[in-house]
Amino acid sequence: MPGVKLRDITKQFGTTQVLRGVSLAVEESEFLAILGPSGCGKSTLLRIIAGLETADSGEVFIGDRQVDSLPAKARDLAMVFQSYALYPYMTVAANIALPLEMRRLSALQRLPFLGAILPGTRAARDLIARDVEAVASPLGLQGLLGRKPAQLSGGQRQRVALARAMVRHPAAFLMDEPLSNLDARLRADARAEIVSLTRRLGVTTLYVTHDQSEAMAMADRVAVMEGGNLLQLASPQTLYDDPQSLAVARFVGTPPINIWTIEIAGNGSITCCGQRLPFHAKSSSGPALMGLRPENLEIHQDGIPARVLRLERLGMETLVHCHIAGLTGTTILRLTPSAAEQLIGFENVKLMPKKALLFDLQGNRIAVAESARIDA
Amino acid sequence: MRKTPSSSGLRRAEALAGYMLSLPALILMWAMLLGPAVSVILLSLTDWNFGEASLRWVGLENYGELWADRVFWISLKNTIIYVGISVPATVFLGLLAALLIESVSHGRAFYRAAFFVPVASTLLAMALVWEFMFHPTVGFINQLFGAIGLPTADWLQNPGTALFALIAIGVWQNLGLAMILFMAGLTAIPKDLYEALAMDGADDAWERFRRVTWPMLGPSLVFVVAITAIRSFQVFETVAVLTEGGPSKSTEVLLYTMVQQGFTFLRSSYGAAITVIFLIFTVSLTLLQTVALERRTHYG
Repeated sequence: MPGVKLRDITKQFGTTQVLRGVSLAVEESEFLAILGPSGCGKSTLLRIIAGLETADSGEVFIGDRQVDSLPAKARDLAMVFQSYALYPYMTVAANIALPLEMRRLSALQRLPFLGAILPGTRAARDLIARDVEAVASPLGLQGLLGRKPAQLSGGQRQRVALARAMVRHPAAFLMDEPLSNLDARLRADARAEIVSLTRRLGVTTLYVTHDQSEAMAMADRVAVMEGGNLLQLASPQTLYDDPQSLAVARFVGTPPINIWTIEIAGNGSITCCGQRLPFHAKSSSGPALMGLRPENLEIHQDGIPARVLRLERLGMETLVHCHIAGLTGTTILRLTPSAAEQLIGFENVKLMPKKALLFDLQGNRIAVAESARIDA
Repeated sequence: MRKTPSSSGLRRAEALAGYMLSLPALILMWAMLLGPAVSVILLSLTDWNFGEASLRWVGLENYGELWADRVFWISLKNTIIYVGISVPATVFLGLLAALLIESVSHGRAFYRAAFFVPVASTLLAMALVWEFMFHPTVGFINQLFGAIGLPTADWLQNPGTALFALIAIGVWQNLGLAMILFMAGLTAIPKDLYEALAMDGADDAWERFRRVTWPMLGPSLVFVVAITAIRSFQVFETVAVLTEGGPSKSTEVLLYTMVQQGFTFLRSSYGAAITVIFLIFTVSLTLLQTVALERRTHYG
């Protein structure tokens, strides 16, 4: 299974620059999620790889074949669309068989009545029917082959779309938000199904989504995009622990990362709201931003004063929403239920960060070192 | 739910409100459509002529006369030939125009307007222009045909060609309507179906048409055929203005015969009988269309 490589892809629609020189490489058999908010260019990127759009500049490689000049059908890719794009007036079996029909039957053999009497057509069609069965059964579609898409549920349609993509054994799967039309409970099952399927087949998969939990849960690596730029390409854990930019830090993780405005002194010491924090910046000085994951905050007597707004009890943990005077927005911290219950009745607490990410005002990462804990 | 006296009273009040609210529409429908239709049917069962003081019920006598009337049968035959040729031609050319215009990126609005102008214009005035076009010596058509070597004819005076000349005018007039309706159907086809087809290996015009465009246009097609057929059945102005049913009754059509009998000769009940025949055809076409569409939506 070859990998996919993009080099410096740019694309403009009218006056809008949708892709600004995106380069990435997908390994063989890797599941890569392309994550970003609406309008970041991720669907356009996928369509350029598929051949449904042409890039203004840049190259697309599948394996070591440059495919820019090839039409969509010659690239040996299969795509699952957000709306599934099942042919409404064909049965499920016919939908799944179409890619094989186009590939294996000649134009004459495909003609509605004439083609049936040509020699070899029947044998080819039997083979196609068998391949359709082979791909329909593991997806649980064998009883639905005679139905039309309008008679299927959303989850069944999604599986038909998958089967149609799988039946050709393509070099790579391209998926454009295939789960966004499903309701939440189906989505979780479908997620697992897609991951196990692609893993079993060992097919390179590119998966576009705006849902960061989906990308984090499914992918080997995630490409985070915003405004036509690739911000970072890394494994989900790396994106979470080590985001290279504020945009990535903000986009990945639920609940979202807390951002505190801080001041870095000339000697590298950090203060927030006039209070010293146990971190040291390795470079730069002046105002900066500190990113704190909800689980990296704790209640500590030396901490920064905050007012508890409310508790969000999630069962296995409790999220404490606080407001710090001098900072805009809400700070959320993650506590165990028992620790959180101790806060009841107390409106004022003191928050101390345990681990921090530093960013300059442009959103770039600054290196940080933890100084010794200031103990009372 | 326990049926209390007040709940049945409430339902009666609601039903009454329903009838009261529909009353204006019902009155208008009966006054403008159903009432006249019923009275025409009843009129066809009498022997009343316009201006007579009394009428007599004669049952199906008028229909018997129609059955024996040579002109009626010629008229019916001509109408059916007219519809039988102009409907497929209009639908085919309308679909072709719609597909071509949809495939163009610039100038769509212009072409749409250009093809639709005949539909919106007064057929009477256009028919006169066509009369000039069909003129045997100085008409545009014969001049053009003569210049490129095609056979010319006295289109409107020759009994063999007159009906076809009128068919050409009818197709020209209705093509724009078919085109507009097809374009509405075409734009309703989701674009990602064509993209899925491209990914599946089919990006040529024939496969796109066969696998996606044609099946998705099914409901539009049924509607266009029905509308075009009904409009074709109503052919009248061109006959009245250009040929008056001639030459040798070759362009005698149903509505023209009806107007002649009912309003020129003032044989109102006879004209009513012809109208009833016309009504039967039109209603059948509408019913066929409804049935075809119903079948499509339930089993399609």
